Amino acid sequence: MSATSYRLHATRLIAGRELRSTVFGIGIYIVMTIAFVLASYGVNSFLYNISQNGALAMPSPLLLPLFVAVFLSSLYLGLLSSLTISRERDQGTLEVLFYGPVDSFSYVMGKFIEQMLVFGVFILFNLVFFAFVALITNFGFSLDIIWLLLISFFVAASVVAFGIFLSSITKSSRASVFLFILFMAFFIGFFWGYSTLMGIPDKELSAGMIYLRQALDYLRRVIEWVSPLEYLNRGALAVASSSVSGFFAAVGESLAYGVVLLAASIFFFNRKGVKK
Amino acid sequence: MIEIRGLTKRFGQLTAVDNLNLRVEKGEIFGFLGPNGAGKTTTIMMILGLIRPTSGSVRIFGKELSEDYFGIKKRLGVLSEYQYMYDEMTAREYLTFFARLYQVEQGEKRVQEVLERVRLRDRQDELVGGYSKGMKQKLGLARVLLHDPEILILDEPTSSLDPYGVREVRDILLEEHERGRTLLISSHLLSEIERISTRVGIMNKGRLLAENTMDELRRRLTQEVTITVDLESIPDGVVDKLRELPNVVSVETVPVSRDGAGAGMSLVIKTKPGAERRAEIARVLSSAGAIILGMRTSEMNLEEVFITITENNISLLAEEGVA
Repeated sequence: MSATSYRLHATRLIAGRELRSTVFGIGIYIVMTIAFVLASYGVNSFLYNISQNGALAMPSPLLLPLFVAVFLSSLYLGLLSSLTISRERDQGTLEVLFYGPVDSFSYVMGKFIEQMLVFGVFILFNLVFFAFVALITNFGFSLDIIWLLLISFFVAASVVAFGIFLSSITKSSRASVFLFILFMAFFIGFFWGYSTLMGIPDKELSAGMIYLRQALDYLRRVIEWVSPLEYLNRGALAVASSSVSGFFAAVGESLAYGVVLLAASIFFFNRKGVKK
Repeated sequence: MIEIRGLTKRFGQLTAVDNLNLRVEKGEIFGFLGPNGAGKTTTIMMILGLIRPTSGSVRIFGKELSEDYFGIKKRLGVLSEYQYMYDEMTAREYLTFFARLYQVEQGEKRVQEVLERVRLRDRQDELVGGYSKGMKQKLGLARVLLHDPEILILDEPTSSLDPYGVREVRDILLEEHERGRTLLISSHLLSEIERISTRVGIMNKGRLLAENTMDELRRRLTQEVTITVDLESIPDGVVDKLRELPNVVSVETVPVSRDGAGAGMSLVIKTKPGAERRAEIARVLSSAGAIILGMRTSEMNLEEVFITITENNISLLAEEGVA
């Protein structure tokens, strides 16, 4: 048997074991419920608008609630991923796996594939849920929904890769979760702050605030490549504006981002080792 | 089977393992001993490729791990000191997972066999999280045996077991040895190691101080051999005759009281180590008309050998010009 066959076998088994553990856990169902409740709230507010104004001027009203559901699910999986390596290292079970025919590549890829399989389940549930919502609200099930679900898969891959990367460089599961939350809070906070500041006309800003806005603009150019959430944002914008090239660019960028982070995760995982 | 050359591991200023050279031959039970912090576990981790050495090499089955990582790992069975398990799994699920990982043929059947062997078959559907330390240790051993490895590397394999468990595990290890398996056992239970090891290595402060059979280590460390002979009475002149024997260092008479058999005498004879003296002593005593009730030789046990070597940091390998 070749090393590749051994790797694939170990990857499949690790992914299967993790998937079983996630499916039998309660977290995934809580997150899915929250995602659907939030999406329903969004849909309901659109329906309320229609009942109040008699019309809703949106090309695809289900895109925003779907974006929220996908965003939340991706964050949850990212958080789970940030725990993967460090938690198993903390528990010592990682060491036992490595006594046998498992290497860092098969382990990291096993963890990654498991998270993506879970996200695949998320997508399926989202598909059913939004098809049902489209049917009962008469909003229509547009192709945009399929495109957004498709791009969300690649974007989720980059969020998961980001989580795994943090997990590979930290010493404890507590530290990796803390870092993940910190980074996500920063990315979301930055996005919100930047958008707000950009929305204010120049004449209403002091000189200091204009300099700050310029500095944030430079920072945004870095963050748009570092933050996995930016890829989701770009993908969603491409879908909303029906930009085919934007869509494929977002897919390609997400994939490249994911591959680079997974390779870095394997590198750092090798350096840190499997011992507690 | 395992060949370690010039293995060194430094953690900053601390040298955990210092230029270690060691061979574990096929089919032997190698007792790997040393006080806490001697570098045993670090050595085992380097053998398994889980800690990268600062310098030196490890060859298993004649190859470095990087040459055939998966092939070598599949032929090793490793039990660590602490049992890290998936607590949410049952024992059967846990072993089935590892049977699949090692691609064991007829995995389910094999799982039942090893569970039977460690006497956990009745408890196989219980969650591992509810197992006692001893049960986890046995389950860990079951995992080690699952894929029928050629080399078993065991770190404190009996540390959490009761005396029955210790005997069960010892029997299993001896069975594996009889089947031609190679065992590398690190343990603090020196009496266990003494019972089953064919060779021992003693480490201290990162250095291997001794590596030999128990008999040879004893021979090297023993200054005098004490032979105690219980006699009904001591005939006149026999003590002087014994003192005249070559290699006899001293002879003392010690009165002893024996339960229900009245008083008697014992001779405590100290000889130089080396050749067997008991036959010669028995001949002298018999010819003098003494009635021998018992004779015993006091030898250094492994504990004494271990303490002598590690307390004084004596390198028997340096004497041999190995280190």
